[in-house]
Amino acid sequence: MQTLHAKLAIIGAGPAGSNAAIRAASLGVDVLLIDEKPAAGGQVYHAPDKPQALRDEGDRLRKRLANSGARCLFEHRLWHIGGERHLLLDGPEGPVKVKAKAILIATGAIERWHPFPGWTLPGVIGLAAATILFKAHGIMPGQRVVVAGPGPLAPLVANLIREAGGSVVALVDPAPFSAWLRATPALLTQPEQAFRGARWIVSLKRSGTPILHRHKIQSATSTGTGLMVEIADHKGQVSQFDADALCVGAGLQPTTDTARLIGADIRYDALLGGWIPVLDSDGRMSVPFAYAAGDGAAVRGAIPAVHAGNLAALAAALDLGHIEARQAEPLMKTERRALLQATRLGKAMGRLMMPSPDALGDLPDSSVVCRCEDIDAAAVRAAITDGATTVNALKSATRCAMGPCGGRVCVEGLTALLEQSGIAREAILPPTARTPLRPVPLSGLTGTFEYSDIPLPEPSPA
Amino acid sequence: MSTASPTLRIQTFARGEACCFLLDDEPIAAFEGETIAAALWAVGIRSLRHSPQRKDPRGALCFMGSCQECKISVDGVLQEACRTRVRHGLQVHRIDHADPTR
Repeated sequence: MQTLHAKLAIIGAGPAGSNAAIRAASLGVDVLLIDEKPAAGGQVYHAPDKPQALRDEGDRLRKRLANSGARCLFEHRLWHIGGERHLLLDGPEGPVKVKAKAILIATGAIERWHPFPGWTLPGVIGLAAATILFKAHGIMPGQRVVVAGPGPLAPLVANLIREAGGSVVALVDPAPFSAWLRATPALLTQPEQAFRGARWIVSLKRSGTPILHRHKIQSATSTGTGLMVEIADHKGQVSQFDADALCVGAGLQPTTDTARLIGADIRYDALLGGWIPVLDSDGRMSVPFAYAAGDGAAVRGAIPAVHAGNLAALAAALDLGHIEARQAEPLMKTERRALLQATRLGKAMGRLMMPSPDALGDLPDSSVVCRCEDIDAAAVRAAITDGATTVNALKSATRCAMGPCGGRVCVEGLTALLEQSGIAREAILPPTARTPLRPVPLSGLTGTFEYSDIPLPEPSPA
Repeated sequence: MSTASPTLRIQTFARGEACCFLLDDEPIAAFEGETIAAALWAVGIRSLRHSPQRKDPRGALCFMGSCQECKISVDGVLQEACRTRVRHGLQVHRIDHADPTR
């Protein structure tokens, strides 16, 4: 197995990880930046399939990274961290082991989904998935699309569809319009983003796109050629919409599995996306030489992620002895202040994306909750009635969250059903993080070998 | 042959060379650099496999390698369609396509 050494291994090359790599490399730290995608940028600055001339922030970030001196290992997926920060990766050339003095986790956020009848149908995709189709592939999710979800992601996707010449048959937001008005003061702390958001809404309204506040997706059914989407208002009144795709999400949550695998403490903060690693003011986790930054540490968006990445890189460089405290302190102070300022908008968006405690109150028993194992709501509810009060207990009772996705898709649904039974969200821990973090082929464990390489014991004497 | 539909592919987007791969032995027009999941989405192919118990049709959900819904056989090896790039002549099979019970 190929073994690499690094002073600082950074997992995730989005805005937090890439900026941390650039900053740490500039301080003379030997950095290895790891990402499962073929290029840096994360989901927010997703690289296009065909590299293009400098167009946007993502291209500028990739150029700065290429000139930074940080080593990059793309198309490599982390599936285990063991021992003293020994990372096991699965890459196109086989398994790779990385021995690092320090690790920075910048694995970003993933979408939450709330199940509804028909959410497993082909043609129903995530909101982040829709942005990947646009940014990476230049492909629209559909010509006639229902877009649904809380917070800023749904209007962003709706606007991309409109700009590309498609039609948004409905934009569905669970929050009332007044919730957006309440977020306005925080939005105005980031005028550029506020202006862009306002422009999306004006352009959608002008185009006659129905914007349905306090509505939710009730169900989707296949029509053979497309989808029939039922949308309910807060009184339960249902309307039907014909669409060729449904882009739907229920907010963003940090990916904490890597932090939990190494035994880092976590805490619950609804406004920052739910369960997040416990960090000091500079991104240090509760285990030594381990740091976290970006949406994987707290969902706040791309701009705060840059400052959090810079700050964690400075903290790591300080702890590794590459920079002296008196030199680091003024730099860190600047980043801390910028992070704090940018956090206000992140928290306001977090409030918009907080799941309602009653999100799955009317989910029919026959609906699939765990897609990998085809476990329905009836089975999950029965396990809760039988006394399950944790996601781990639901796993043991029903096999939910034990399929190939590792619970990434269904744990939110399970959590919402537990919450429905009267347990507070902050008392519902995520399931125990287990190796492998991601599905890994057997060749990723063993590498390639010749039969003659296998040590065979001498046959015992007859 | 399914043609690369102009309707879902945005005209102004810079693409790689046109190419052609095989899905269940049927030719699919695509562009180098696209993932299998994106190329199939662009030509309107949404259903990629069936669920293990109910045998319900499933397709790509997250397009980022999380959900594992788009698992497909690529040159005989199980892969995520959303993380595997098309190449000219690539042989792709839906894993349960030939199974009449599904």
